[in-house]
Amino acid sequence: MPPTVQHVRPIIGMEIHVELSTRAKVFAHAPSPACTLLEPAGANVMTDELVLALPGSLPVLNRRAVELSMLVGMALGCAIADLAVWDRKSYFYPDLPKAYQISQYADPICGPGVVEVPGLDEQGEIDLDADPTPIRITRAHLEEDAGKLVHDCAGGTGTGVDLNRAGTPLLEIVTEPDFVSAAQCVAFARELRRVCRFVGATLGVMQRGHMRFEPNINCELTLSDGRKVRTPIVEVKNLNSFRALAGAVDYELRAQPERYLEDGREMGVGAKSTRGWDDERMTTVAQRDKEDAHDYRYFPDPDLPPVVVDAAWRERVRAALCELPMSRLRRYVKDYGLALKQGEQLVEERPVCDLLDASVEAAAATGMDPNDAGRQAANLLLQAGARIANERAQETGDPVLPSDLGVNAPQIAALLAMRAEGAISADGVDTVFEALASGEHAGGDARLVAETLGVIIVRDEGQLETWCDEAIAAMPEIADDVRAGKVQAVGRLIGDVRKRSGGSADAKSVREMLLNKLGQG
Amino acid sequence: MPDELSIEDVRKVAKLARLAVSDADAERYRAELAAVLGYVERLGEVDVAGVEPMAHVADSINVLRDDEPRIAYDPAVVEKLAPDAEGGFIRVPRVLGEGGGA
Amino acid sequence: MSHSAVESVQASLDVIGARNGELNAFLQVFEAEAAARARNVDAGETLPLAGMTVAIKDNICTRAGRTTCASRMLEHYESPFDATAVERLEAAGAVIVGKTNLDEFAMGSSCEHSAFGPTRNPWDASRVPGGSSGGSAAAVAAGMCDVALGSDTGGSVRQPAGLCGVVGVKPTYGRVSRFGLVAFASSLDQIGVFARSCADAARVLGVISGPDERDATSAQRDDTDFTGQLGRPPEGLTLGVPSFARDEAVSADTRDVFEATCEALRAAGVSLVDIELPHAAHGVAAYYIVAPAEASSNLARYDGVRYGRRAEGVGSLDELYTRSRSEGFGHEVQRRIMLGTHVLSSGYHDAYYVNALRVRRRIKQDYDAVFARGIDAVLTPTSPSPAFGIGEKLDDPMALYVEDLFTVGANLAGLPGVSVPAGFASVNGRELPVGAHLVGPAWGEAGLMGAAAVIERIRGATGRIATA
Repeated sequence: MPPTVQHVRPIIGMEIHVELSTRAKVFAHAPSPACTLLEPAGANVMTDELVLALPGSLPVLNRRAVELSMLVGMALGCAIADLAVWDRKSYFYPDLPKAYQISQYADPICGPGVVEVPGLDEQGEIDLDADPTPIRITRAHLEEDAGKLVHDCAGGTGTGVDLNRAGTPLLEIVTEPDFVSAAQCVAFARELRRVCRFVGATLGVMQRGHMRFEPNINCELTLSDGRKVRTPIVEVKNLNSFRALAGAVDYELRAQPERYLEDGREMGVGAKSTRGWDDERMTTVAQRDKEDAHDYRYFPDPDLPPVVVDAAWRERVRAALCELPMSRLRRYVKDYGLALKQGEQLVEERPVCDLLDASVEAAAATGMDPNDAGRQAANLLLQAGARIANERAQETGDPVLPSDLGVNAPQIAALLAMRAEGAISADGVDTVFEALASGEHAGGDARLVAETLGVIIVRDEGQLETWCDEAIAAMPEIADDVRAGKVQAVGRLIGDVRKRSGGSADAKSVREMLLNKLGQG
Repeated sequence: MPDELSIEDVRKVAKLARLAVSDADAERYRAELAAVLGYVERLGEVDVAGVEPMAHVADSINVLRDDEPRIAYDPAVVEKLAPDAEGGFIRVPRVLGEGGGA
Repeated sequence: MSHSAVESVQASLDVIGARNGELNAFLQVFEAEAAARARNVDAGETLPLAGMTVAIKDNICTRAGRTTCASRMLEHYESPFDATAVERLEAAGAVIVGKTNLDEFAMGSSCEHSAFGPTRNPWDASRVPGGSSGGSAAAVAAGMCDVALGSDTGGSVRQPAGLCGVVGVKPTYGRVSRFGLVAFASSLDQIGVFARSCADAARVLGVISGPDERDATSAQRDDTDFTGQLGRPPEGLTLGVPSFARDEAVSADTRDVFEATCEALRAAGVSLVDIELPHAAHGVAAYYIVAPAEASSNLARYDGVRYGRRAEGVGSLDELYTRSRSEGFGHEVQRRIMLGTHVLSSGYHDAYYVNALRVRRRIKQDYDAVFARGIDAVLTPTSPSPAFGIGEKLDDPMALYVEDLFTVGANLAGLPGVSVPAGFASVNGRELPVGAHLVGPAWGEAGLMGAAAVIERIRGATGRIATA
């Protein structure tokens, strides 16, 4: 009787390509499309002699591409190489103008590292109390991206070649086969995207292909006869969404044991295959086997001197590293008491976190408890801040963050201080924030603006008396109700006083005063 | 040193280099390449123990440029250079399959 | 040379008109552009090379005309940019009169591998001018222009200079920007200069030298005045002569001129010292692995997709590649591409390519050791024999390859080298030039040209315009 599969142990590694957001390409001087959210205006509008691989053209390495690679490497805990060499990787394809890709073979810019992937709960959400999973990074290297092919372009036949993307800097990150599930792969991919966006290395827009994943998947099968066999490694190419990544890994983990039972093929030399992903049918698909397994004939590019990284350079780059998103998320949830979703929303964008952290620092300097300040500032940014940002984004059509509104940390800290003193109400905070974000009061002193807008809570007895008397006079039937014992009706009178005071009357004092006047105090 | 070059070797190399070699030419190339490879065998006599390969002849390092984009070529230049172009794209016969080898 | 630029250009065009039909030195002549440029130069401020007529080897990019590399692949190619060396020449007031013939993609030592016919040696039209910069050498030798640019990867400036009786200099690797030089072997290529005197060669080399941010291998050095030692005396000059200068491959004619040169130098007070370059004999072998390897990579971009020749009526991508390349490239180019692909390929890479790079370092170490001993320059003949007959050496690839015996070392080691006319050999009743070849230490172009000027003065073989 043929054996059955008793147990499947997934063995998954990943290669991730990240498009770096430099303004110019990595070896050519032409503008790069990966630094802006705008799509290029047409095909082949970002070329120069090197992008086109014209005779006589030469590569020169972009410093920022190297430094962003080092920055990401440091954020992932990688060793930064002392010596980095650029090699030519040769093959023919229309999206590769020189017929070789400048890449790195034996001496990559980043060596081994480790990423702590946050633990997940049963729903696949981040669980800050669960132990993180360490995923080992083998290496990361800097290379250039290829152009794009468009089939039956411009209504014609054939394939169109668009070299806008050709030459964009690409950081290729390779992991050890440490993953055991699709969920883990996606958690890692999300964390990687967070980190890369956070340090300013990429815009990370998935639909633009700024991050592409290639999982290498096989399994160790325990058979019913006790034997353990490994299935052939399958590499799935060019996945550019988390959904596709999860789908492809899940599919392969189901399909590989079945394939083994059909054909008995095991992992070994020549058994590795490449597959693509069909997003509609949610399956991987076999790709045409190339008749010649590629012989890339790597050799050091004679046009590019090597890069030597000394201690001083390392330190300069390290100084640009900031507190990373997971660390901030932990702080926001554990210390400020925010919900996980709120924390995740904040760490999505570094400028927002930076503003939050700076506001907390400023507030703490005035003696406020940092955790209180953190919670309040976060809520301000996530509610009023996000609302105004969205409104502005609708108007302009461009993305706007709460940190783009022109409200700075000292202003936010001042608002929190006024609230803590009782000088303004929660509504008052929002009102002043909105005013500071608008053109008229931008850059202004928060207290002065609060005063100008009349939201400073008024406790002046005389003023309150006047308003209370006016309210009672304006609503005689309600006043009578209160006199008659219907105390709840005083709420209507309080509301009226609030209107008259522009929201600045202290509600508590007003209530007391009204009840006294109406004989219920 | 590896064995004498065969016709199969020539065909394999021609394929890697995307050169069409007719049967008539294949033997001619084989003989010529074998002659050159025979001549360069003498390099095996040289004692290179402990000698690093010299891929770069100068000893410069860290030649880097600032991240300042220059003005791109006008797409009209690209179309003019291209043997076949359509709607701003450079056109080639329809390509099957997913990717070249990245 | 107190002629106006206009007169200078007219004189050049007259000689070209008279002799290019026979010699085929020029592939393109820029009559109208040169005349216009000359008028501008005369009208403007005084420039260092004002009115000097220059020919440009057709593997160096010019926006003017075409840049064909003597190949059907680029027969109609028009470069959108000028090479840095070209820009600098024009900024200095030189006038480009045309593009010269070469072995296709600079691969050859005889100028017979051009898709547009061979160039003929002005001293004997049945013979080769040398290569690959044969057209530039012949143009200067025949008086068609004052100076010319060539490129030198294994001797392609110096060897034709030797066969054509002119001065030909290759600078230290990195001295002259390679931006706009169509790459053959990137770690070996340099643009070089042909002239009828050491002084002109040194002057023009200085103009095109200097840092260029568009070439990452370009040296950050601004010591580009190479004329300082042109008048130096023979006394105090120490030249090293390696044993392989008297290699059995050297013909009797060349040996005679070389020995006469050595005698004359000694008599004038130059110190000649026997030296050893233990690995020099392996230079050709190392070169014919490294150069084709890099060439196979540099020429892969010629695929018919974005520019250049595309085969007609292709049905598939593969057919587009193979037919465009096989129709576009000549036999020698295809052979070298295959050789280079082979030595880089899996299973052969370490044994051939990496090993050759180790030998390369040994060759450089040999030169370094010699210069550390106080030798000013290494002296050999430029090539094993004077100009051979057109068609004579085409059957056996190695026969042509060993032409580079004395010149490849300077490319492999990245050192400056120069060929200076040393005399004439009488062959079949014709006088054929024989060159003396000097290699100097890195960045020592001034000293190198000074040594060459000593030979020039003592032997008196420069300056003659070749007549057939």
